[in-house]
Amino acid sequence: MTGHTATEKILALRSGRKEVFPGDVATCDVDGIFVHSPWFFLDNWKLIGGVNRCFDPDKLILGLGHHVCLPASNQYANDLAEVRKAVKKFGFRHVYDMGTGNGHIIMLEKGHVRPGHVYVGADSHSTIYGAAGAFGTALSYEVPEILLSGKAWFKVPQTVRVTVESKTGKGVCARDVAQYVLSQVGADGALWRTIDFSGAYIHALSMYQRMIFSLLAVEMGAVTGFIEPDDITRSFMQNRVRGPYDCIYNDPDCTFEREWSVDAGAVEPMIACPPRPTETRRVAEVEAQNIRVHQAYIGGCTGSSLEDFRMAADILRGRSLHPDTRLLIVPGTADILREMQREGLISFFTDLGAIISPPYCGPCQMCCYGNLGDDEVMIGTNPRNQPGRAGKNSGIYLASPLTVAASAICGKITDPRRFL
Amino acid sequence: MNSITGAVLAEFGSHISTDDMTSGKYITSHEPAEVAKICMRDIDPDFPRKMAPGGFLVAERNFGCGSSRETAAIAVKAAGTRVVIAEEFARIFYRNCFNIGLPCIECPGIHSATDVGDELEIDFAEGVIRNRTKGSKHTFSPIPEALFRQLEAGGLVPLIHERLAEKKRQTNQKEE
Repeated sequence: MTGHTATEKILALRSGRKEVFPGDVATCDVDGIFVHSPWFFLDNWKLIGGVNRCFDPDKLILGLGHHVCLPASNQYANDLAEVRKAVKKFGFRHVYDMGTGNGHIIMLEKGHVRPGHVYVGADSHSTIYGAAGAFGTALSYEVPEILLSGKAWFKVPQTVRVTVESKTGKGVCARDVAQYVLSQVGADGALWRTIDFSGAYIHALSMYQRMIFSLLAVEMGAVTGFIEPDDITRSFMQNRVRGPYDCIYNDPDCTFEREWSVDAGAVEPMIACPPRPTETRRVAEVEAQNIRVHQAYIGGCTGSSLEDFRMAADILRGRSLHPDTRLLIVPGTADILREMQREGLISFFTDLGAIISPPYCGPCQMCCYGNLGDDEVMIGTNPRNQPGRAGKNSGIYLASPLTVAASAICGKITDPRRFL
Repeated sequence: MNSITGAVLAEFGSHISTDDMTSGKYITSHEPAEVAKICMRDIDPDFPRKMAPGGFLVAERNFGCGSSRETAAIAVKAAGTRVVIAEEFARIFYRNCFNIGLPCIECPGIHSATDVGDELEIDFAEGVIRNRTKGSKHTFSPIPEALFRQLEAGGLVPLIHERLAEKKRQTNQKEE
């Protein structure tokens, strides 16, 4: 009798079964649903027709301010107005409107995600909820059905494990390590699997830095990016979550389908080149190509926490931006913005000549503003760089806030270690 | 729907993303006919014309990776794709396809063994693809029963309508 992975245990628990095995289909009670796009919400409810209730209005979290911080068109404003009407009608309590910021981070920050529970989001990056020791994954078209039934089916996945040990060197942070992991696992290395991130390095990270790993799990094809809860998880949950939770761990004798081990101390600053996040190179190697940067961007699901802005400020302090490069600062959430204000980071970036945006998910898929010209290049802390996501054929590079800041100073892709 | 015959009208390699299928920069409407027009525009501008007669799409690994956008599956179907056959699918795209009534078949080895223009006969119950042009045969794991039922209903939304109607009928019977 071998043990079970945490994913198997959570899916068994929430489907009311004693145990489940990889390949089984588990129909689970869903503990929270994240929805952001108003058109999707309205269109699909209309399609089903006759929808006049939600299984539990407390379980829907509506992140209207995720993709946009302000509506750019009359049509979008009208859609939002319709959604707000529906919100009143159905009695939804958790609505995060314009200016509240990135819905994924809000889900965790506002205590909507509890360890050991099951969460779905109408967004591929919903794998992020695994950072709290939950099972979190994307389901898009099925969300209206889940709103009716409160249940979702999952094919129980195999679990692969990525163990990261030791500490990073100078100029290297969580995003670099995550990019390195992406390069090792590959774009389909964890297809339909849970990635279990473990090791001393992961467990020393703050919740915000853990979210980077869990969110990027989907870029390796994963169903979720799970991190076993620990004291850092529990203290983050304090004063945030409503209701009890049990932490679920991997059984010591469970089976991981495949394992990777990473020595964080050996990781250099890393950068994802077009056309996808797993196309990761060493920044030092890419720097040699003299790639001009038109927009340096700190924000997005994987780089908009207080810690990310602090790291960027450490590089930028006492230096100035390259005249041909604009620096865009997009705080992840209103709470993060408030903290930045308190620490003087907003006035620091303003004095530097950076553009400060209200909180939202940032220029990552042309939903709002901050898009590029045809041959412009952006280096950002955001999660995705498929061609065209921020402009016509634009080159999008993904890196740590340290590398983005260094590149903003030099006007070209630059290894941050030269400024430390 | 036990079997279906037709021609392979388009082929793609690995890691085709939902951004490739419906890039945000071209989306002006979510109507199926409109998103079909922009489907694969950056990687295969001719795709909508090629698929228009209706047929099969063959791809390599990780087909439909990336964003969860529903428009991707809708566009691929509306462009004329009757079945998507790939070595392996990305998870969200796979589910979205079944949700809108577009069958996905996972068939290892299919990409290198098939060319555009090949005539295929797909037997869903048996789990076999017969390539009439090349005289070859490929097996695949049959589509899970629950998903197949959803396909026969035409997708998730019609299935929900069926279920709601059934529930209503049962309630009425009880009342009588």
